[in-house]
Amino acid sequence: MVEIAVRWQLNRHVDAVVAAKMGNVVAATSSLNGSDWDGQVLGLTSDGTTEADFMVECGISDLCSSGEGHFIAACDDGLIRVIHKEGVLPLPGGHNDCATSISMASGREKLVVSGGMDATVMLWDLDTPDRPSKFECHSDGINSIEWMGSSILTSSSDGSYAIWDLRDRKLKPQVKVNVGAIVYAATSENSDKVVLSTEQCDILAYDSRMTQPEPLWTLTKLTAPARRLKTSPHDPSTLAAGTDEPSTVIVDTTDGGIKKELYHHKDFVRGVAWNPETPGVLYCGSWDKTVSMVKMGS
Amino acid sequence: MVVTHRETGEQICVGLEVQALPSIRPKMEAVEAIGADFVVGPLVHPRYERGVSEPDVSSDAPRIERNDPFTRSDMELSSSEWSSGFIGKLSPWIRCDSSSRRLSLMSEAALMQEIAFAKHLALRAVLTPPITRGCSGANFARALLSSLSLNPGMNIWVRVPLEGSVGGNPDDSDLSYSREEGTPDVWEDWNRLSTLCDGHPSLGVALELPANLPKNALERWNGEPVCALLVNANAFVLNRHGFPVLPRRHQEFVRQMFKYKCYIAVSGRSNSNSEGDRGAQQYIQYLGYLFGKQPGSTEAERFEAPYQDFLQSPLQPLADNLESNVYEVFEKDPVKYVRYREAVAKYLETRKGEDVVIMVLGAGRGPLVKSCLLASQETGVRVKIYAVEKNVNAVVTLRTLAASPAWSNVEVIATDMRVWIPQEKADLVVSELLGSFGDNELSPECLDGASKCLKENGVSIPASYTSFLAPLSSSKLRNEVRALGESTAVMETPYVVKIHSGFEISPSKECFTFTHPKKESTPRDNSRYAKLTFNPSESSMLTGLAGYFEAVLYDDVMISIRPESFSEGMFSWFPLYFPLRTPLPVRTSSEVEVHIWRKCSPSQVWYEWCITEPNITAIHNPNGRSYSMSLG
Repeated sequence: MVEIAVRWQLNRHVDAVVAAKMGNVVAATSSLNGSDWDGQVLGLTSDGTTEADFMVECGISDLCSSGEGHFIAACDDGLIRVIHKEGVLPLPGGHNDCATSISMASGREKLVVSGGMDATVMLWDLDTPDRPSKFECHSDGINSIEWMGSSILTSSSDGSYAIWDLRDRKLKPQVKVNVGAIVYAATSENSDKVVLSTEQCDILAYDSRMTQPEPLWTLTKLTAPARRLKTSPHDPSTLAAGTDEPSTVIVDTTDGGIKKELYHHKDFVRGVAWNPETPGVLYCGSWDKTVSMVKMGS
Repeated sequence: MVVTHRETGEQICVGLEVQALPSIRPKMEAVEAIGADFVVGPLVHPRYERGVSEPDVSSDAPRIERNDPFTRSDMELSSSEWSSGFIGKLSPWIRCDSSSRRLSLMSEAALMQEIAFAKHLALRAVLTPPITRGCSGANFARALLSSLSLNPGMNIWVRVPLEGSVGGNPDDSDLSYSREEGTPDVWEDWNRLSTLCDGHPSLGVALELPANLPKNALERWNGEPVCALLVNANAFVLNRHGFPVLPRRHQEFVRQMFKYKCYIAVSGRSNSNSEGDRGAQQYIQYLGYLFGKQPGSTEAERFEAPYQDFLQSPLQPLADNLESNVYEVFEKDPVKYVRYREAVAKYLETRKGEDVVIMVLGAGRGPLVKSCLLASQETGVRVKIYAVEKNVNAVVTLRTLAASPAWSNVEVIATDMRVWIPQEKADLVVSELLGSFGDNELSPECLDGASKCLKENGVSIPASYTSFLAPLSSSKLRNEVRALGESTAVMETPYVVKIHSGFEISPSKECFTFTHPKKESTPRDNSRYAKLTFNPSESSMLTGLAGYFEAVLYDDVMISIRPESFSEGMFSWFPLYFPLRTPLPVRTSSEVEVHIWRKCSPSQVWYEWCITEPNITAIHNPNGRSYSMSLG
């Protein structure tokens, strides 16, 4: 049983959603057409209202939580901006093209990594943010970035995904696989698997240690690429995919089977986030300018 | 910033490339305030993917319906602001050659839509995303070509990143893994696209200059239609006064490109300069300064400027009479007649104390007669000069001059040198019958006809001349030829042209030599054949052959239009360009084998040419069907 519990109507295209406490959600939105191509970050409460909003001077393609009540936005002008109650503060340095993806380490160190269309990865330590590092690690734009312990997982339009060891703040390649242009890469099953979404509209899974070169499974039923893959914090073999079909697809990562297909958005689903507190609650953000909260029964 | 050169009055435009353009008017004003003349920015939001095809019938997904405008309105700026101040970037997600049919279709639709909108705005040009590396690019090329034909006059610049050498500037990035040695040269990708688009004249290159320039020869881009330079902010380094400047190789390359009147834009975010627009202002000012301190042009350069890449049919002085203005232009050459005077003087030095008979064959309005008279004065050797000229109109000038006391020892003979029977023979014949390719204005035939005028042991100035050929890559000249029409005749006629946008794939080699008077060892007739082999310095596109000449006037006095031995300041001759009907790709590993014939019949002389390596072309101009030099 699936229930669309709440739907927030917003004014801009939604590109990322991040779950907050108490059933609230934060949405990163951008004006992708019209006169001004600006961005807005909104705090949405579970009763369907908007709690707070922060204007950003350009669009935002990805958002993550800093873990301290702040949010970090990857912006179209290549800058990474920290969004907190007092305002919006850009981090020093930036990408040479749109920033596309952002991820905050879950460990004790306050490390933020971002990927950009300029094919580089940038790394900031929020304790010393004025000394970012920049790594050229792909030959085309980076579409997603995600921490895996002390490593990071990147996917790129150059047709590869890679796992990089980031200890000592150096970027050392561990695995780099060419499977055709990749639009998103996520880990599942406690980092045992890497799940990829390709430009060819497939979702496929690899053993993250690359013990075998072939994919473990391939899901070929989609008609448009999945632009966000998020593994459930409560069930490591359940993954939500926001697609351009537009749909939200729940995938069983043990075998690549589709558990559910949701068609409640009218345009690309570009933001997906699981509620970390309540199992089976998913937030979806779409270019139809709405954010939805979906409750899935077992 | 439109920068005007103090001396030459030439102008260049310097602008700024921006990644994001959240609002257009404030940005245009901010950019103008820092001195930039134009903005290179996205035409549509760079992430706004659209052009979605119909959903799969088997899918339950709803059909996406968007009724919003796909980008900002044309009312945001005035039409003159759009056309002079904005160069639109096509959406970066456009990948017409994606193996995903969906993305390929979306890309093509978006590309067509954006180019049509750019045409609506009358933009100077649109800039494509960086050229895809190592892929056929056939779908992209097809879509571009289709847009070019649907939107005539719309310029499309293909973004070509020059890739830096590996392991260059350590400050540029902490580590780099992706740029592997051995990746094919980006020129190959451009060349493939250009070939697929048949070298469309509205298709240009926007070269992106990284912090580290590639090691291989950048001269090759001289043969390509480079319309814009995008100078990466990271290429700038601080000089000892703390101002950003470009490293030497960048400077040299930017200077090289100034002469093609490229648009220049500063691009990207500097890793070391976080001052935003103010930082960019310093870069823009520097580029303007670099242009302004270029040396002014010489007399020869000013003379040549209107003729750059302008095709002219070779003169036929034997068949046609030259007009007054043509004589006037060539008489102004500051070098040629000085060399002739030196050559004649050098000869007269050997004849001290004697009376010397000189015949000036093809005297025109008398410049060579003047050179001979001056040489006679210099050396104190007395001369008798016969000025032979067939053009009755020029004879008017000669006879007027001959009436003056300074010309008392000059006799004007109004006839064709080939039929004239002189009463006495000459010690020295002086002629200026050379064309751009040496013998192409029929100097050999004329001087053969006049050989009866020369005493045994008589001397000819010029004593000999040799033509030279070099394989040339020039998309500009190729398009200039095609602009004359697509007929076979147009494609196999040699043209006189000041080659500006072109790259010699390999240095020129000797072709045909003629010596006067004829030596026993030289062939009796004036037909010739040469097979020349060249080793290309870079992979490139062979579009034709550049022809030059070197002439020995007398002893060590020479004139030359061959680049390696060029007589500096001389402007009487531009090179001769032999086009190829179809351009040929050549590689550094392959040889280029050229065959050229000089063929003669009783009434005309012509060249035929072809290539047999690395590919074979048809023989151009068989029997002189398209072009010949008339002996009549």
